[in-house]
Amino acid sequence: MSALAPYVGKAVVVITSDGRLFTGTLQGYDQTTNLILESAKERVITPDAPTVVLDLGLYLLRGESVALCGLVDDEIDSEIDWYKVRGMRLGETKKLGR
Amino acid sequence: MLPLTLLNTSQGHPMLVELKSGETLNGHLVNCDAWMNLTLKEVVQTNSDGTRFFRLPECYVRGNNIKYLRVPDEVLEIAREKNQQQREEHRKVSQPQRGGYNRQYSGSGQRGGGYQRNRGSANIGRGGGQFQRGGRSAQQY
Repeated sequence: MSALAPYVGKAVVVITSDGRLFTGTLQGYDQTTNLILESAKERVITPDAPTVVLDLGLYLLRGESVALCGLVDDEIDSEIDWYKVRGMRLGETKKLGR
Repeated sequence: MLPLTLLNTSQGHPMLVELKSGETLNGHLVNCDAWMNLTLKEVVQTNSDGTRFFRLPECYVRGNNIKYLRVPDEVLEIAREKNQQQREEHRKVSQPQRGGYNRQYSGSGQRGGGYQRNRGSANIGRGGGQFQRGGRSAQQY
């Protein structure tokens, strides 16, 4: 239950069940894993084009759509040139919608 | 801060709601509840491809269909201030009961306050001794 408490105020990466990747500062959470992300950014990683980083601002993610919330190691993160990163698009963890 | 506190604070502010279906709704938040059900006004609905737009004067969204909400940055600061205010008010209310630990838990409505001395021999055998919490048990006997 309290597993996210140590992450509050820190940079996190969130992968949603539709396979998108968000980063930002975790400002709050609740029992259903709804998350508040401040200064949220979406990283769009594709196989054959530079990574696009979208500035999104303040986000409230509904818990149902959160697949993963990880703590970012600022030191390692700052050494990565995301512009050069290539990768396959992530799949979804479930069929959203119908 | 709790996500639903932020949502509550967003009332009256514009926001973007993405549904699980990929559709998005742009509008002003009128109302919300603990299930994240929303009512929005002056809504522009966009289909999941982003190719078609619909204008709705008002709409209700059942919370379970929501993927995420995008709210204006300033709402977080407003919510923080509101939180702070509430905390201070709460402190004001509870401060007159200094050392009121016993009083709060005395349930009977009688003053339980603090250490009670010499409540009479009736206390003997009740286990509480002179440090009983509640007033009632001590006084009934």
